Formats: sequence, structure tokens, C-alpha cells
Amino acid sequence: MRKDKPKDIVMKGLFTDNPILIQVLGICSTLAVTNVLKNTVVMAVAMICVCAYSSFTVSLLRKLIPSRVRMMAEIMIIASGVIVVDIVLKAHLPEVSKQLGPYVGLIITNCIVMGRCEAYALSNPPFRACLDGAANAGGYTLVLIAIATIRELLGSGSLWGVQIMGEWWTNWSVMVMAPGGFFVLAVLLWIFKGIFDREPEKEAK
Amino acid sequence: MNNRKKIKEAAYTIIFMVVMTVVCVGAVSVIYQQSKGRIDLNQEMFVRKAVLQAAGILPEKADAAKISEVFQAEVKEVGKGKEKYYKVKNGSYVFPVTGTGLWGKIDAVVGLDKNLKTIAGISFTDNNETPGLGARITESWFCNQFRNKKGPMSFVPEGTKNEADNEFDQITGATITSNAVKDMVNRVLKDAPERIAGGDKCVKISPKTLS
Repeated sequence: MRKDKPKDIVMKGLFTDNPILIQVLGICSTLAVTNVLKNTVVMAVAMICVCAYSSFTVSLLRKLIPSRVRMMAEIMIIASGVIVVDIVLKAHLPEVSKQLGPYVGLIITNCIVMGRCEAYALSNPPFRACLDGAANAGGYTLVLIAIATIRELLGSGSLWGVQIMGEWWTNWSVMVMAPGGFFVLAVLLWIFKGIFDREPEKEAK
Repeated sequence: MNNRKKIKEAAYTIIFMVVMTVVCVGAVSVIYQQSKGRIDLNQEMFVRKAVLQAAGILPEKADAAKISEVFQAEVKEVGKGKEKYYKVKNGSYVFPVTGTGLWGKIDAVVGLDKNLKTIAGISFTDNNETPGLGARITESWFCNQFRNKKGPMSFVPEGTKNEADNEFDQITGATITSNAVKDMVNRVLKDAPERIAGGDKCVKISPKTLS
């Protein structure tokens, strides 16, 4: 545990310990922002920045933070990061910021960020913590993009706002609404668990 | 002895949180102050662009500078707050209007021709509708279909592509949003003469009060 190789950290975050599909964290934002691909990508980039930054900072301060108030301190660090991201989006990508609306602010309550701070950053040095945060957010990103691609394609017949399906295509309205998110996520969870959840058993033998 | 240690710990905890709060809030405030000008400018630009679009005089591939230039040359703001509307040099008027959508309010600007009967255009400045469904009201095909129609409007199913003077294509799966847009447009058509009358009074009075 003490000496994780960077490669292992990345693989864990992205696949074998994927925050959404294996740890089943951050489901709420997964359902909320995945109906249009463009919003999803911006959300995911913001998430990577926030997660890497907050893991890094928490890890830097890990010896100073009194354990009794560590959650308050973590939230403070995360919230400042998120607000900065929100301001940057408003100032430089006003159109996207308008569309994402309250969701950027909700990164604060995304349990992946807090979870990584608690589980990893508090007991590991800054560089590895930063990598771990980024890798987990990366895993989140992969799943989000997969879900958004399926939902936008089936629900609106387009990708990144560009029409893909022809005139014959009938949009599945249910896909862009909340239930569509549940369906797609459940199917992905099912497939993913089938593939990756068996590996640790094999290794153990 | 034990007590002292406890107090020390507690003091450290409190001091740590206070310092932490000051540093975080300070950093965020500085960044906010730095970007405030830009954020306000973006908001202003957004409204201006919408007004030009509603009046049907938005130049193609307009960047911020171009929008400001055209806006300043062509558009005059009349009135304040809720009574505010925009007077365009070519004789048309643009009215801001707010409606009730599915999740929250929808803000739009509706442009009317000189006679206040024909719609010059519509543009949405803010909405919280479902992305991919109700939020499609901001797409250009939806906004453009209002051009040169007379109202009072009613809607027909999406894809009808009708030419009738008082009908627009709604958005499938977003009936409540479409309804809200219909009400907003009709309200502007109904209230426009009154709003202009009120606004003109303001304009006439203001020079006198100034002198």
C-alpha cells in the first residue's frame, strides 16, 4: 500500500477500481449531466481538475490537518477549487457555463472527490495523491463519456450537437430524461462488473 | 496536565480552521474580483447578441467587438427594470419577457416590427429546461420559425414545417416548454402597444427633468 507504482494507481482509478462502476460513487452527477456529450466533457474536465487539485492539497496538508476537523478542511479545499472552476467557466466559456448551470457547483458534493481525499490523499504523499485523484476522475470521465455517447445518439440522434442519424431516425425521448441515465448506467455496470470484478480472484490464486 | 493538552489541541484545531477559512475565502475572492469584469461583460454581450438576433440584424459571424458596435449604432434602451425594452433604428422594437418553463423561468427577448403585429425574431437568454428536450428552444430552427409570423400563436407537432401565419412547430417531448414559449410570445404581442406607450412617456419626461 505504501509504495504504489504510478502505473498501478492509474490502472486502479481508470479500470480495476473505477469510481462509478466498481465503487459506485458519484452516481447522482452521472445521471444528471450525461444527456448531451458536450456538457459531459466539460463537466468531466472540471472534475479532473478539482479532483487532482484537492487530493494534492489535502495530501500536502495531511500532517497539519487535525483529524477531528479533517472533513471540514477537505470540504473547504474542494469548495474553493470548485468555485474557481465555476468562475473560470463563467469568464471564458460563458455558453457552456450557462448550460451546465448548477452542476459545476455540485462537484463539491460529488462523493468521488471527498472519497479520494479520505481514502488516499490523507495517508499518501502529494504526487501520488494527485495522480490518484486525476486517475479516479479519469475513470469517472470514461464512464460518463460512454454513457453520454449512448444517450445522445439514441435520444437526440446526434453527437456533440452534430446530427448523425438520418431523417428516418426517431428520437428515444426517454434517453435524454433521467430514466435513460439509469438504464444505460445499469447496463454498463452489469457488463463492467462481469469483466473486471473477477480479476482480483484470479490474481489471488 | 491532560487538560492542558486538550485545550492546546482544541486551540490548534480552531486556529487551523480559521486560518484555512481566511486563506480559502481570500483566494476565491481575489480570483472572483479579477474575473468579475469579464463575467459581467459576457452577460452583457449575451443579452446584446440576443437583442440583435431578435431584431433580425445580427451580423453573420459576429464577435464581441462587432456586436457592441452594431448594438451601439442601432439600438436604444428605453425604460428601466421590468419596463425596459429596446428601440431599433429600423423601427422595430425588442421586448424582454419572462415565462414559466418546466423547471424554472425562461428569459427571452422578442422582436416586433414597427406595426407591433409582426414578429421580427425571438432569442432566449436564459432557461433551465431539460437539455436535449426543452432546452432545444435555443436552437436556430426553433427561433427562426417565428420570423414574420403574426400571432396570436398556437403550435403544431414538430416537423410539420408549416407556413401558416399563426402557428409554430413545437418540440416533441417538451410540451410544457413549448406552451411557455407560446404564452410568452402572445403576451408580448398583446402588451407591446401598452409597453411602448409607457416607455415613450418616460422618454418624453426625462429630458425635462434633466433640465
